[in-house]
Amino acid sequence: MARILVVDDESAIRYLFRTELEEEGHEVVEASSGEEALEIIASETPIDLMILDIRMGDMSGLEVLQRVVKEEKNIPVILCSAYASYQDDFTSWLADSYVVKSPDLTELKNEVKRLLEKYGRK
Amino acid sequence: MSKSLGGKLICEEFGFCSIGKLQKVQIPENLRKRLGFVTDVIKDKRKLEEVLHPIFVLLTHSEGFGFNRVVFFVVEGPELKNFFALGPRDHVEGLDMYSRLSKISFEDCLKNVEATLNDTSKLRELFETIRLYSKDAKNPVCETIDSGNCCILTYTRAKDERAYSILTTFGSTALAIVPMHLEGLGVKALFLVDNVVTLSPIERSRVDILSKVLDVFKPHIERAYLFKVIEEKDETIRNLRSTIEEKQSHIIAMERLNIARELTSSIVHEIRNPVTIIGGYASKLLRLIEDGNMESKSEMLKEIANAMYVNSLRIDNILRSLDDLNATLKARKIRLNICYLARKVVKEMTRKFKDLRVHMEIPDTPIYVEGDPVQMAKFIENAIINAYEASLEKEVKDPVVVRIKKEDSHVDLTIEDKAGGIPEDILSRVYEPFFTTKPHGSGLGIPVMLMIAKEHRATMKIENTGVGARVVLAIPERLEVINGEDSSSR
Repeated sequence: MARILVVDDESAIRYLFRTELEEEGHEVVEASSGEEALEIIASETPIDLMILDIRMGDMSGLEVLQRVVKEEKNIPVILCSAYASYQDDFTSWLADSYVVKSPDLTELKNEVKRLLEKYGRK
Repeated sequence: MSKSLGGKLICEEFGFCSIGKLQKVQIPENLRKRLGFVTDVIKDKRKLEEVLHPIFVLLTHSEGFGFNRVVFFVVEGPELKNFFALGPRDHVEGLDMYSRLSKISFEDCLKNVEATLNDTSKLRELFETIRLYSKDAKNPVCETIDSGNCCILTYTRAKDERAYSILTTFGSTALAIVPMHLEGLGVKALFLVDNVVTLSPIERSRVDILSKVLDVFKPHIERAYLFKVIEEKDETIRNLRSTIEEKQSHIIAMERLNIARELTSSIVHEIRNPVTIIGGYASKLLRLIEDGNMESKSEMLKEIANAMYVNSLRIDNILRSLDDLNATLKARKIRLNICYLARKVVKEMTRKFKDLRVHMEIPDTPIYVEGDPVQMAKFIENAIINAYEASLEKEVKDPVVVRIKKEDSHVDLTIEDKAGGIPEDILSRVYEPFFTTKPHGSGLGIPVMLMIAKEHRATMKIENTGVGARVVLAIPERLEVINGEDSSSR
């Protein structure tokens, strides 16, 4: 079981991801903004993996990603965006994985599994 | 050897005579009279050919100077360019031409350009095959241009190649060259006369008179040349302008493409989110049904159904706005009375929204703009809806103001409310597609208005008044065409 942080400004998306990941046996923490995500990461309970939306209100997912990488948080990050075009942004290459939002959550779940194994956090 | 003979320089060994200083000469009475005729004819002429032709008639007609032919050269770049010529190509053609022309009087020749110009095209052809380079030091014609002195080339004295080659090139036994510098324009030119038919020698005194006469015509030639330069510049400007117009239309096309790219990218995002939610929940629903025992999950089911419904509405809203956007892409502009249109839109909207209060400051006299009625109505409608919804939200009772005012070169269409205005931090973002602060807004209302403004070459401004928000659309006034003139020039 891993502790997964889902960052998205849309509650319905967070709810969807939460129920799916909880079914897989993970613990899910939600953040509705970039700032909130950084606060949670800075707190004491460690996060094993983060699923990060890009286009959000004030702070974009790419900024959150930069901060996480810069501060050497060592958290695997899956960017999960409705835009396929952000894959061309170099910043997005900092993430461990890039998944385009889709009603079929298989790809996202596969990536979660792959990264947790890779980082030995299963 | 050169020897100076009282102000004139004769270079016998080269076979040409360079005349340094002109002798004081009296223009003979009969010539003076014809000079008057010619000046009269050319004084209002603007075209170089129209100025040169009467001068050439004076130079070639038996009642004038009686030279057989005359050519006007201009230095253009490295070359001497034949600009205008009158006379036969050779001796044989000359006999034929002069037997014909001898029957036409000087005055008729001046009036009847066609009669004398008949053969000039042939002569021009001949001279066009002759290429003289202005920097050619071996060429006495070019040397004359540089020195600014007149010169006579004679066959009998042509012992060296320079004079000989020029004379044979022109098929003459004697040539006189009179340079003319158009100082004001920085143009160097020369007149070249010869006697290809009669083969008679050219006397020094006649060149002196010729030089003096051409001096009289110099301002006219200068003026005509200036007009020619201006015309060429105009042509260049016209060409540049059409290039610019072409480039502009490319830019507009590119801009449209960019807008389309930005928009599709936004649309993809806006639709993918709700689709992810609807699809994700639907598949979740399927699994729940397969698992059975639905009653215990009723809370979850309710939440799922609600999320699916709300998100389908989101997509529907986006599609509606895209329809509006589509309508703006094909503008059909007509002469539109913006006052009438605004009143009509306000009337329809107050019927539709019972709480909507509108105060109109619209003149009774029609104001015409070049506009698409559907798009303009959409613009006014969107602006009123924004003002109305803001007023509802802030519970403001003041009416929405719709104002039309004619300014100097444009018409201002203003829609304003007193609902507190737009927070400064989001004021710059309201033009972004899909940016919205309303729970069910599509975020396309203002982008659609902006596109309509662009389509009408109008400028749109959204600002805070202190008590509320204001949209101003400055539409260029339609230029009324009356008797082929447009009213803006008056």
